[in-house]
Amino acid sequence: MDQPIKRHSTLALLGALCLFLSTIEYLIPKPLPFIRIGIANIPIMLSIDLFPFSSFFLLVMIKVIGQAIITGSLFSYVFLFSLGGTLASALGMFTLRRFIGKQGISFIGIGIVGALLSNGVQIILAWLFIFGPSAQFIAPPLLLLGLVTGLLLGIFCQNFSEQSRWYERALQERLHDKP
Amino acid sequence: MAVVMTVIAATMKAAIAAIKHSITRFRPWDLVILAISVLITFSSFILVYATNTNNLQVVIEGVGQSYIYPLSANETISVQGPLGNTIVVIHQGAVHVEDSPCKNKLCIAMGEISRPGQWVACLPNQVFVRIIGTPAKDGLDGSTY
Repeated sequence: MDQPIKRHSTLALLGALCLFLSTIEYLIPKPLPFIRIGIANIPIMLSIDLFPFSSFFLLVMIKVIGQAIITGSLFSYVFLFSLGGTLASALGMFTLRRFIGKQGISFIGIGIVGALLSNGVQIILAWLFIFGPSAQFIAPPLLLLGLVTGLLLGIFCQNFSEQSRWYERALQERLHDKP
Repeated sequence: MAVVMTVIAATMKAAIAAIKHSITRFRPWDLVILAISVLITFSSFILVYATNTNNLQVVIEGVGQSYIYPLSANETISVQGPLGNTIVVIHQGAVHVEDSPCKNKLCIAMGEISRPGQWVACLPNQVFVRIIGTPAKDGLDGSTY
C-alpha cells in the first residue's frame, strides 16, 4: 500500500475508535453533563505522533462531531463547549509534543495539559455565555478532576505506546512524512 | 462471581503495575507540567473558596448618599445627615458607630456588627449601616450561656 492509503486506513480506524469510546463514555452515568473522563481522547493522543497536522485535525473533528451525534448534543450549546474544549486541548497537546519532542515530554504530560486545557476552556465558555461570574465555583473541582483523569489517560497512553505492536508498526510506517 | 473477582484483581494488578512503570519514567517536562497543574488547581481552590467566604460588604446609607466598603477594610467614614456628621468605623472585620450628633446615642450603644444581615441605625440622623454577603457555613445565628 502506498502511504496516503495507509494513513487513511489508520485514520479511519482511530476515528471509529473515537466514536466507540464516546459511546462507552456516554454509557457511564455522571452527575453533571460537563464532567467527562475523556476516554474518547485516547485515539487523539495516540495519533499525535502518527499523523501530519491535517490528518490529526480531521481526526479531532471526527471525534467532536461523532461524539455530538452519539450524545445528541449536535445542535445545542453543549456542542460549542465540546468543540471549544477539544480544539484547545488537541492543539495544545499537538504543539507541545512536536516542539518539545518525545524525549522531553511523555504522554503523561500531554494528557494533563490536554485535560486542563479542555476543562479550562469550558469553564471560560461557561463564564462568558451561561453562568457568568458564578462559573468560578465549578472551576476548582473541574480542574482537579481534569488533573486526575488527564494523569490516568496519560499513563494509559504511555504504556500502550510502549507495548502495542500495532502502534510501533504504525510509527515505523512514518505516516506523518510527506510522500 | 469468582471469575469476576479474578478479572477485577488482575485488572487492578495490571493498572498498578502500569502506574508504577510510568511514574518511574517521568520526563523533565512532565514534572514541570505536573507541578504547574497542581499549583493552578490548588490556587484555584484557595482563590475561589477561601476568598469568597469573606466577601462581606458594608452598606452605609445616609440621606441621598450610599457607600459600600468591604468588611475587611479599615476605614473611618463620615456620613452627612440632617443633624450633622455620623462617624462610622470599619475595623478588623467589624463595624460600629463611633460618634453621632443624635440625642439618645442608641446607634453607638448598639455596638459592633460583623455578620451578614446585622445592622446599626441612627434614626434621628437618618443613617443606616448593614452588612450584606453570603454567610460562612459554620456561622452561628447567636449563642447564649
